[in-house]
Amino acid sequence: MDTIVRIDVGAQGGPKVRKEPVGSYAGYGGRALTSMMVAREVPPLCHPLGPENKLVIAPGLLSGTAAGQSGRLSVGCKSPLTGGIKEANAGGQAAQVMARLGYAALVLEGAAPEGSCFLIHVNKDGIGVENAPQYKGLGNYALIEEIKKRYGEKVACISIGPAGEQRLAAASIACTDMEMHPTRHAGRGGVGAVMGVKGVKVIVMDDAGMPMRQPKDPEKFKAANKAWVEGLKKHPVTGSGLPSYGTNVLTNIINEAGGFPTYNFKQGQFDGASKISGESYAAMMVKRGGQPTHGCHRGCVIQCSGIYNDAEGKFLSKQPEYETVWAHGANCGIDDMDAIAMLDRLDDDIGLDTIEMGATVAVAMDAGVLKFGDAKGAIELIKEIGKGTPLGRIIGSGAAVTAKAFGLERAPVVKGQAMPAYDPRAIMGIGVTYATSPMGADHTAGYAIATNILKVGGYVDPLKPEGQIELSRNLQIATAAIDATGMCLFIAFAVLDQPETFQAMLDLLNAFYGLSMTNDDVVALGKAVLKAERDFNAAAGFTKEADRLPEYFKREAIAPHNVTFGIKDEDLDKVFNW
Amino acid sequence: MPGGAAPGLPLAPGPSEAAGPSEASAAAFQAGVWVVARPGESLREFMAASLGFPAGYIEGSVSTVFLDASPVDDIDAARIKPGCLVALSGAMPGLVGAVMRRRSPYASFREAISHAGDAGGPQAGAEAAGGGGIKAAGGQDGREGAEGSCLVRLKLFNAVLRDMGRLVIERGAWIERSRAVAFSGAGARRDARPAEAERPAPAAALPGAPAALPGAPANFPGAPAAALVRLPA
Repeated sequence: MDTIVRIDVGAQGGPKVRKEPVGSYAGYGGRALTSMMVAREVPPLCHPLGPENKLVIAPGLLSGTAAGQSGRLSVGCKSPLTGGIKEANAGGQAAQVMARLGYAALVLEGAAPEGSCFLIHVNKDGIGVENAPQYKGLGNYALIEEIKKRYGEKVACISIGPAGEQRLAAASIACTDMEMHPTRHAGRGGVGAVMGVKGVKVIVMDDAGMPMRQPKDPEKFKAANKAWVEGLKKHPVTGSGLPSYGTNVLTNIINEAGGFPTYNFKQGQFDGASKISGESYAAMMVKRGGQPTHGCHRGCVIQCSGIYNDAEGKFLSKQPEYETVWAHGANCGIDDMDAIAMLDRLDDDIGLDTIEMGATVAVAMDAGVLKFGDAKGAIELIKEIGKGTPLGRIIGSGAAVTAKAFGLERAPVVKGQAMPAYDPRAIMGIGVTYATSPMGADHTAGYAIATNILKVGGYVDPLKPEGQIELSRNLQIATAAIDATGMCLFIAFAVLDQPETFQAMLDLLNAFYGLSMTNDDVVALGKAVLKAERDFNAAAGFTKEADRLPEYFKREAIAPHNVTFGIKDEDLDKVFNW
Repeated sequence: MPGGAAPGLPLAPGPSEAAGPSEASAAAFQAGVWVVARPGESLREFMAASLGFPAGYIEGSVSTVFLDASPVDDIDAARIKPGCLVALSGAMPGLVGAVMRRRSPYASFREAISHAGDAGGPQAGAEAAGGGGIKAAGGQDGREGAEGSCLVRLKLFNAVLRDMGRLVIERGAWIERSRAVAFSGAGARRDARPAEAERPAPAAALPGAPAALPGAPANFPGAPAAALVRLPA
């Protein structure tokens, strides 16, 4: 994994492929690589859909190895949704395959001729680019069926649907899972629109004949991986809770806490929550012959994914994630499992971020386009995006644009990106991260919970309240570092409670690369990534006023706790004082 | 008394090896069932004595606890009041899942909604029942209840539902009659039995359970106005 491949899609005579050594990007992977490359190479003031923007696709430092949970793929660019730097990541097979093919990053550059519909094929023999107009306009599911006919079922695909082709700001990039369903998405920030403007419909990667990446110290690596997997399996969350119920196990809990945004963030509890919970979905999946415990890529230990069948027992979609169930469920007043699964499938097929779409449909409902709870109407609204109608293009541009189009203040966004499934008034600490993350409102920005292990900012006494500002800072640093490894963020649970499991992760990195990294190095990496991202945003015109929640979160109390967002602006400005 | 059971409260055996409750019962638990408790007992005592959870299970597996929608850090300080809502869960994923855990190092993230504890001790919850302590009988509204007993609403989620749902049903769990209709329509193996609505709860078969109930659950302090039916064992 020592090569970066760049494809100039606008080169004279057709796309030009250029390979180069990783050079000064050595030691970076995943988000660290995408953000460093965007920060160095993309003019901050460029238009996100202009030729100066680049789409950087990078596996993590441990992707393609035998390390468990190392299959996350990072996608970076200047975001069409936020106007700032963006890293979105996805599971699926792509990261493992790309890493085994030896590529640290694949970079799409330049401006594609109008009407381009490129297929990029990558295997051990090299990289080919061809125009493939027969795929134009296809949804991701139909596209992958065509790819299977041509390349078989052992390749990994990275693709866009009609939303990406339309260059909509909520467009995602799909990655295929182990069954070659296009269900794992780099969802946030409109990265699919940038792939669309580069004219690339699909990247097909085939690692046949390529061995697993080999560590510098095989014995130490083997021992570290054993400890790593054991740590994940023995933890109650990664070993039991997630495999049994998936991420949607959170629905009942967040609803109970009164932090489950309902009816476009108007209340914190949803009467229908138990009907769409992870427990209810798991029971339904078993009844219909689906699979509630399933991995999204080879080497997954946690197995939090699942297969959801329709009433006839046929595959409908993956088990909807917590964020999807919230976004299309409670936030839209919908308590129908099948309807939510259908919305999930449509998002995956058209190539849309489910969080942004659920938030946007709820905004449209709030504006009177539909009634809250109208599941059929919501399905038809998402289909409008696939058809490219004027209404569909508004909805596909996200919650902020839709609120403007319908004259509504209530757009739950930060930096133009919709908030995820936790109300920042009930859970104010998450609001600090929403407000200050360089990515816009993002629940994963401060997701990796390793504060006490990394000793970022000192030890946190579990029995004393710790400042929300300090915690948000520390969590964002830790997350940025873990995002560089290609590790699924769900490892954070085991790492939080089991210091030996965090050490096993460090041991994996050190054994693989022949390094001797310490906690301090991890913290330094996280800080460096965040600094590069914030510097990019500042140069793109972001001021401290961008690090705020919408005013109505300070004004309107949310039931049942009747609380408003109470963190002061001057405190938000301290988050990155380190 | 973190780390141990309430002294003097005998405990039931550990979780059954059998699978969790039926799909219909699981749905009922997620929406909330009514169970008998003692006003003023701590949440730890409630789990140990009224529900029959083993001490080790409470400490090791019931990682996330809510009282009236507020996350609880100290299950010895938070106390039962008639009609209160208790929700019990295992350890949850995600940052916010970890934030909600008992004694989470990230509890400050939800400090605006955390349960503050009940400073008044056992007397506080008991007084809310309208009586003079946990041995008092009857409620402030004149309803009859077993000595020192009340009804509270209980939700069980995820692993706790799977592990302890059957035990709670065996000890006695009720839902509103109106929900029993939906319950039977949701594919229950057996319906809740409306005929049992006014029948006294059976004498407890498990150690630590409340004494046999002399009246219908509807007469207990904290009970809802709606008629109740018992979940079938």
